[in-house]
Parts: sequence; C-alpha cells; structure tokens
Amino acid sequence: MTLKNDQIATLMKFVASVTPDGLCCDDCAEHVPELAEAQLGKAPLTEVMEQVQNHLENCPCCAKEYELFLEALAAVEED
Amino acid sequence: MTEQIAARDVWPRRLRDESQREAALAELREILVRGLKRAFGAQGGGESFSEDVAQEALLKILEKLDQFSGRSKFTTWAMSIAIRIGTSQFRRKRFQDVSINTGDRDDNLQMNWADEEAIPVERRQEQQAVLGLLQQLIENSLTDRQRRATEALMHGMPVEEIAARISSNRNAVYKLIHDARARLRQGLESAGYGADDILTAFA
Repeated sequence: MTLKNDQIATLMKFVASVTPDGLCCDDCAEHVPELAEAQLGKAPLTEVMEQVQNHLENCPCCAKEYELFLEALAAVEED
Repeated sequence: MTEQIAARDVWPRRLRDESQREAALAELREILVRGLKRAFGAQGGGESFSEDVAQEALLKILEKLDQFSGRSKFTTWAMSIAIRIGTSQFRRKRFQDVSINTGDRDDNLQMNWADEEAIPVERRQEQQAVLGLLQQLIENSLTDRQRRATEALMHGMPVEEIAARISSNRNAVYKLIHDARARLRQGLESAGYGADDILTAFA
C-alpha cells in the first residue's frame, strides 16, 4: 500500500507528537464525563483528568469522540 | 457538595424504581436524542440514527447503572455512553466494506512523496532523508502487526475497526500503534531528527 503526501504528513506528525500514555481507550472513556464538566466549568483538572487529556492528545479516535461528546453536551445545556 | 451528590443519585434511583422507570427512561431518551442529533447531524446522522443509538444507549446505561460513580452529572455520564455507541455505529457503517492488509506480508508500505516545487532545495533534501529513514524504520523496527495497524490508521481507519479486522480489541490496538509510534520516533531521534525537525520538514 502507498501513502500519499497528506497521509505521510499525518504520519510524521503522529510520530513526532507521541508522548508516554498510561491509559487505554476504556480508561479514557470512564473519565471523560468529569473532564468535560471540569473543562466546561473551567474548574482545575485533577491528575486523572490530566492523564485523560494526555490520552486524548495521543489517540485520534478518542479525541474525535470527545469532540462529539462536547457538542452533544452543548446541545443539552442550551435548552 | 453533599447536596450535589444527592442530586446525582436521583436519576439512578428513578431508573431502579419500577414505578418511575418508564418516565425516567422517556426523559433520558429525549435528552440523549437531542445531544446525538447535534453531534452526528453534520455527518448525516439524523433523527432515525439518533433514536436508534439512544435506544441502544438506554439499554447499556441500565446495564451499567451500578458503575455510575457520581463523579459527574448522571446525564453527562449517560451522554458519554451514547456518544461512544453512536461513534462505533457510524464507524462500522462507514468502514464496512474496507479491508486491510491481513495476509502474509508481501506488500511493503510505500511512501510516495510528491515533491512540491515551491519549497527550497534544502528542505526537500531534509524531507527525502527523513522519509528514507522512516521507511527503513517501518520495515526493520516494527512488527508485521504494528505495520498493518499503523498503515490502516493512516488510511483513516479508526482503531476499533482495525481491531475488528485483526481479531483484537480497541485497547490492545491503541497500545500496539502507540508502541510503534514511540519506536519510530526513537529511531528518528537516534539519527538526529528531533520532533521539531520532523514537524518543520513536513509542515
């Protein structure tokens, strides 16, 4: 299979930006509700929330889910 | 704080109480559908998609009720479950006909970088050097499973869909790819290319 320019650029960014991550996707999912509430309420982040944030920076799939989650919460808050 | 915790118990109590369950489920369903429609609307997930996901989410929420710890509002927790189900369904549908290289490895991952004429010669040379090294590292430092998973991810396939195709699970595939990334980065750093050099060369 062949990667093209945009995919290569993504791979480079993906490799360059990796940081140690002690969480898996399920750990992240367990704690995203509290992270979202802390972020939306501008409350300080606990150590676990910082770990979740780090996982979100490493995992594009969880990051996408989190983005959708925040949109959903915004819709509910509006009413 | 005690009042806040007590408020967070209201939903679980209503859902456990047979006399209140039906009304609580209807109310929760309405909240979930509202959020799902906003989250997935732009991607083509309309009313019917949101209704179906909310229904599946309600079953999951009832199943996991004892796991609600009260660290967030109940509806926030419930919405996180619904979004994960919705995302999974969306991804499954989108990638249902897409396969990945799962056979014996006879097809090396190639990087076909089309030179951009406008960039300076020095930067182009740097790009070619990093690309050549990365290609070598992919071939020599990664396991076959790591190569296949990384390659699929670069083609846009989500981790859970890769997992389904290599008989694994999302957590394990995430770890597999994360380790591959760390190994590639370490290899590039050993050759003198730091993260900033890589990002600058391919910005």
